[in-house]
Amino acid sequence: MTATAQPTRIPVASKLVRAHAYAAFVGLVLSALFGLAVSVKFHVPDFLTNHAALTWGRLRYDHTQGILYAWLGNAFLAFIYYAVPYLTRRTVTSERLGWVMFSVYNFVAVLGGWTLVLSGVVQPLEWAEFPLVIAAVIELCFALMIVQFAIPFLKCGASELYVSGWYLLGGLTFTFLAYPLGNIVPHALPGAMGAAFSGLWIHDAVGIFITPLAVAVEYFVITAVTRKPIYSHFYSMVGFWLLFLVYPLNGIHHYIYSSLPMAAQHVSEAASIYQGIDVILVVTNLLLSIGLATEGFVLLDVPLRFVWTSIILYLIVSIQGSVQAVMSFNSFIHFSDWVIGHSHLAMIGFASFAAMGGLAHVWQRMPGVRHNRRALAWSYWLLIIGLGLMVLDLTGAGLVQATLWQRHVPWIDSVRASRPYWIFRTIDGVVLLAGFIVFGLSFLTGPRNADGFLGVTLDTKAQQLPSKVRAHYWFTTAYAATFGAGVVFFFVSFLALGVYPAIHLHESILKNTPPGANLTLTAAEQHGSKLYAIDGCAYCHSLQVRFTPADEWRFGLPTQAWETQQEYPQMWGTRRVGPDLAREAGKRPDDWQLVHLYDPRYIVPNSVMPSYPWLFQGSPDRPSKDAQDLVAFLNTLGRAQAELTPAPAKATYVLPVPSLVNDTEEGRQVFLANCSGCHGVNANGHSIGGRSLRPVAFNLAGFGLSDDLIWRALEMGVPGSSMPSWNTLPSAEFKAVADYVASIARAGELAPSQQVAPNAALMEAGKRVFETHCTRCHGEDADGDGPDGRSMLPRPANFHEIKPSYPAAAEILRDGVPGSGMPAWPLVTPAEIQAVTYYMRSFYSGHTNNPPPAAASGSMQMEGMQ
Amino acid sequence: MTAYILGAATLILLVLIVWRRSSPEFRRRSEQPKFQFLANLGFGPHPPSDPEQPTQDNQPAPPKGTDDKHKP
Repeated sequence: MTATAQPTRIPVASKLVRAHAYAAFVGLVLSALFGLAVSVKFHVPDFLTNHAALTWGRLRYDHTQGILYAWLGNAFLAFIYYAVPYLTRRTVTSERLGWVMFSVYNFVAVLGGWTLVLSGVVQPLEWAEFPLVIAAVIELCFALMIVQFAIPFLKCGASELYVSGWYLLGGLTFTFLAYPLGNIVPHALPGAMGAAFSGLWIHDAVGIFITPLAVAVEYFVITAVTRKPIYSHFYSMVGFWLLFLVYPLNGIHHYIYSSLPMAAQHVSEAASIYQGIDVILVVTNLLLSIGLATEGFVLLDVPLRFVWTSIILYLIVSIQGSVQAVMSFNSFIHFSDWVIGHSHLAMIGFASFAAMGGLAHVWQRMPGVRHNRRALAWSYWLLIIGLGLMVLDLTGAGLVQATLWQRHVPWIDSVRASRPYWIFRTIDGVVLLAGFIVFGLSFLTGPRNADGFLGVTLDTKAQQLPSKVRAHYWFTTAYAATFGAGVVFFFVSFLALGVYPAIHLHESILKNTPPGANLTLTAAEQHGSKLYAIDGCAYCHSLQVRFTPADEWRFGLPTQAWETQQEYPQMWGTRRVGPDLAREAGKRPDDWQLVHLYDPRYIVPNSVMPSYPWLFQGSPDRPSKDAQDLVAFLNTLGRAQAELTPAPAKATYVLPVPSLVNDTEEGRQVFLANCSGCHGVNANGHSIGGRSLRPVAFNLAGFGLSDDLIWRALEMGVPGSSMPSWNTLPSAEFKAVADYVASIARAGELAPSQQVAPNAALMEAGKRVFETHCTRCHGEDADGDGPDGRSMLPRPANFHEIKPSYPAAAEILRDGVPGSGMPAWPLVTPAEIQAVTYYMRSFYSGHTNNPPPAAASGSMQMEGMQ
Repeated sequence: MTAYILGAATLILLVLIVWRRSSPEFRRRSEQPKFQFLANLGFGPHPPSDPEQPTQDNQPAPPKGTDDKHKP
């Protein structure tokens, strides 16, 4: 006698699906708002600038971590809760565990991480910016996810497991293994060694966490909507294994042309190309599954439309990534906005579209919830338009930046050229944000689904399946063995791209570190390093000069592994908005750095760097200890190498200097774009930034200046001052600005001088004043070579080349030149000032009477300039 | 070393592909999960080797007026 068996119902944990879905919407909108604020700051750099918590770097950290964990993590978790019963005919391990995991994940990891980052507790590791304590919590969550979801998969039997299940199982397992590599290990391994591990995680965050879950959604939704089997399950599994075998090997392609072992770089390049081939296989299978089994479903079913788009973008972004990893191309495109466009295409185009398709598919079937198909369709088009424009925009910006970086033009030119693209990017971002909001609204409005049971109903016969599975023990064993081999391979990749480079680098460091290299940081410098990390400085100013001609020309010697052995953690960076700072030590005076920190636009017109006013007590000349420590850290960047490298013989200007007579509008424009920050738009040195420097910026409009002096200062800078060399200017601009400065100087000194007729008594009086007060520094011959002046930087004025106007001389005698050896002379009377100015002017010959030293007399080869 | 590993992985996959082409049983078994999944969703058809599968439509269709009009 046989009892009538009742069908078994396997419910979906629908409350957890809802909870994670709502958390995903909130996470998506907040993360997008973080991103939008970051984008606005590119063209309105003073936007939200007065609070440390809202500075560019911290918002940028929260943007990417929010997209990764708050949005995509929650969206995929919602989908997994829905999918597991359909894939395994089993419930998840425990709903109670699900609620614990939900709470820990969202309230501790995401909210806690966001809050800590805004408070300045971060780690400057790409895609791993949440601090170590949060990293530990997230790793715990990944462990809980394995308990929650892997057990049903394992019970299901490998030979029956659909490819989506494999991707979910693989994604969760391998992410648990990969996460510590990029989030925790770099704290223990410095510099180049840590970078190897960071590179692994940068790629694994996308390739092993996000990609498998997105592809799982794609395979699931295609079959669920079309109600037809996929084209080939076998090839879907080939794609699955290739993904997990090859993806971990990609990591180092973020650090091509660095000091990491070249063999590892070549492996990552080859693996990246291989990865592209794998994606072609996967996408072909997916598209054949849709194309052969549907009759217009892509157009009519909106969730499937999201999924279809995700598949197409997966192909595009993967091929793009493979091309960008090719070394010759990478030397051109790396650090530019095209890479940012690539990551947006991956995280929004591929991953988010897949997550949205999955969520929308699930939501249509959830009992008792509202969903609005029209809003969903609108969100699709808004997102397509916003994403398409953004990716095109960032690709264009990247190509422009990369082209300018190859040319010998000042860095700021690439920033100026990017500005229109950045404005447009913000507009695209608004469209994307609108798409996200409408997408969320589609889950809250519209008709309400009927209440009912959500889950799998198995009849009695279906429950006999385990006996059938056992009949295919060999197949299950083969799958299990392959999975085990995959885990082993993962560790092999970890050895090949993490441990091997680390060992190689360790040996290289031991062998190549020069004796006496000054690598140890003081407590203040270490504190400055932390501040550099907290505010995301490395996300615009990379700290690695690559082995490429463009980098070496612009920044100097490539960064060697031994130089990085005290960097805990490394801050090499993968993007440049501002110039690389790995060779910053000694390049600029501290006061320049401080003024630049207080408000970069004070001295660098068109800079988009954020201001850091909270590091000062109201003005740039009142820095806090934090500001001083940060500048101290900047002065350690490349210090060891600089101290060990003999100073090159100073190149000097080419003689004879071309005559500077052709004042042009171009010269004025070059001056306004590059010089007006310090010297002021009127060239009188009275800008806020110029007066904050020490010594204060020179009053170009108050002195006649010889052509030689102008040319030399532009070409070599002025030692002891903030005046840098401008030999990165294109030849035509260099000549034009030199002409313009010469014209200003002529205009400044002529008119007042003509008011004083030749006068022997005045000359004698002036000589007495000069000999009383000035010769110790300026020398008896007024050539700036007095006994007390020889050790001064900047050197005292040489009046054979400088012809002061009466007002300018009066101002200097009254106030001195703050920050230089020139003191104020308040007791000198106006008559004496007139006399001594008259006397000083008498020396002017229009050229120096001190020719450059022999060692420095060789001509300097400037690009395109004789 | 990594090149050898990549090569070995490729070779194994190529062997599997050749094996699949030459063995109908391998082909049938490797494709079975997609039919099993379809059955789990309640859409049939049954897996070729496994007639004892659920036949109920387990995945609720979306409400009228949304996407169910595309049901084949």
